[in-house]
Amino acid sequence: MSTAEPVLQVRGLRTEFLSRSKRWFPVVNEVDLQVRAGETLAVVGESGCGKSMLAYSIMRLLPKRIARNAGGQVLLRERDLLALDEPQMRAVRGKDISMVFQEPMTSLNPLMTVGRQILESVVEHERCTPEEAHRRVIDLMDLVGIPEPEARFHQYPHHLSGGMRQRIVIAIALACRPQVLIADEPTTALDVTIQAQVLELIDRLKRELGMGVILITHDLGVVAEWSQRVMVMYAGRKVEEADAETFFSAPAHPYSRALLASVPRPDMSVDGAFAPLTEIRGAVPPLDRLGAGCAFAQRCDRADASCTATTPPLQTSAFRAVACFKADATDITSSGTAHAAAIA
Amino acid sequence: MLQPLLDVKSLVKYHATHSGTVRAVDGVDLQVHAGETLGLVGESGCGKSTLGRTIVRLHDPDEGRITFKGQDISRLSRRELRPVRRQMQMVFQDPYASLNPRRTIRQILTEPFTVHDVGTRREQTQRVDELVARVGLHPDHADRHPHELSGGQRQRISIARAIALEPSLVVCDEPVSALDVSIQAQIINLLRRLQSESGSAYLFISHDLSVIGYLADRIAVMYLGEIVEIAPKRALWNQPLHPYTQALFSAIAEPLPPSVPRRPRVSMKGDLPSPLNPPSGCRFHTRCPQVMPRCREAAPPLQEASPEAGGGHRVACWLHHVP
Repeated sequence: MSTAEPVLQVRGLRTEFLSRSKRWFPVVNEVDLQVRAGETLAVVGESGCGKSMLAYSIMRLLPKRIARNAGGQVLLRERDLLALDEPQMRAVRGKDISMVFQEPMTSLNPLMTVGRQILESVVEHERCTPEEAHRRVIDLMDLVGIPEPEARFHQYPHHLSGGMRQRIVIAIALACRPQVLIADEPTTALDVTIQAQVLELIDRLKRELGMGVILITHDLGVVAEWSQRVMVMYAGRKVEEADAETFFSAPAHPYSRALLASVPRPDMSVDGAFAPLTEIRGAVPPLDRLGAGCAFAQRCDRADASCTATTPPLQTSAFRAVACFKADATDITSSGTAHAAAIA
Repeated sequence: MLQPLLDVKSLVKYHATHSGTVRAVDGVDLQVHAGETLGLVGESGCGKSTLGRTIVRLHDPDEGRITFKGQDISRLSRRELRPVRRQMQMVFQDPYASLNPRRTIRQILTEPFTVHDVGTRREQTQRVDELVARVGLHPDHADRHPHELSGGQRQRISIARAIALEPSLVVCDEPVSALDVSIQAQIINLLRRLQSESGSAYLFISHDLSVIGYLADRIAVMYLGEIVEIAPKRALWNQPLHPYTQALFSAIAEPLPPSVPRRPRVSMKGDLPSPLNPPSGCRFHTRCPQVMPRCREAAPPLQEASPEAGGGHRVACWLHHVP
């Protein structure tokens, strides 16, 4: 697929939190990932599986009092963000790597016009005359599809709809043409039709600006339509990674399979016969109380004694990586297209 | 045809706001039949929750009639409503906000029985134990407080409370929207199982078309206070007629391999207009990709789209108007 160079490479990242009993425990555990220019990597999993923690760790936005980095590298091109001091990191954040959050209202300042808020992020990182800066803001508003940008410049966030607010947040994130955009549940608070517009926008801007995008979402439908690669997290670890075609035609990890089978689809019952949805029994375990072995074992139908003894390593093939003792060898080595051919 | 369980006619509900009156529900006609699931779908602000709450009389209707089991309940007083409430219950989106945090699960679940004076103390205790088991919780959960349970478990409790007196209609307002997919699947399966056991009808309100499409027998689509299309699921799924329904359906993101062809995307222009000042004529005309001059002038009636094909598919659109 994409042969462009990776813009972001995360290697062996480990982030720890301080528990109430003053013990450090991992919330992001030995995670590797890479994102190329013009590519969207989706990070999926249920709440509490560590996907937002991964994003905050990359952005270095976690509170120092209760969170610490405990290993690994976050390479933006060649630069290790984890080695930067805070002033250096501040210069990178919002300029080379940006983030869009779930709820646009909480990431905007209600007392400042939206134009000023975009302007701030332009002048924070770049030297330009007031006229140039204003021009840039109008161009950005135009880029993210806000009608009548000159008039909207002077409006406050509460004047705008949820979809328009999220466009403003995206305009702020894109003000300095970052190489990497991390979008954490960017459309979860929005209606479906607006969701499609916002994701279409991110996709278009990604191609036009040559960014790498990390799309964090719990919505597998969104993943299927808007990403090229998929990474599944569970209890802080990467448990599967594959290109989108392979993942959706033949998910290999039991957690990935169960997640996909639990999504309701109208065609499941349209012909009268009604298939119950697959349930995943129990819930994501609390990360400060993980035992030995695979964290999914208690909820897994395939698990046996070997699963709870040691943590399954990631087995990597040309098509995917899976961390499961019980995944079939063919699951690991076959691609989506090979799978489709086998069925045909 | 049988008399419907619920028959809503020309229902209107206004909300007074600082900036004027919102016609949140503006002339809605719909029926729910015994034992069926009617899905009510629409985007935020379309009035679907207000409609649900007005039907169970948490809001007083401003105009129109709600007939439940043959009885007009639209003007009943609180006292007169009491026996009706036994038959008609509601499940809300946020189970934490709808469960009293200071009471144990047992106290919460006993309340429907005491309010409606059903059974002796001992029978009530036994019924609560049965309810806890029916919604798939452990007996120990009965003596805990809501904050000690997970979101999915709390939603099971809200459902248990709603079905305690075996109502014939349960209005579910976004009951799974706050839950993770795996938990959502558990609750959807639970609702389905309870319905097959008890035969209650559901009015299932959601913005999530995948959930509605999975659960509902018929689907009603709402836009700015009005029903724009209503049809059996299969008919609506295979052939949505209203351009708004088409746009909604084409925006569903399905978890299928990228190589599988999708519905062509029908894009809408702009945002939802303000419900304070809805557009003239057809309310969708400002965003409709197929707008005609007539649409700006007059509102299309909700009428049978293909009477010869057995009926049941109604749409409010000039493109499909039969004079």
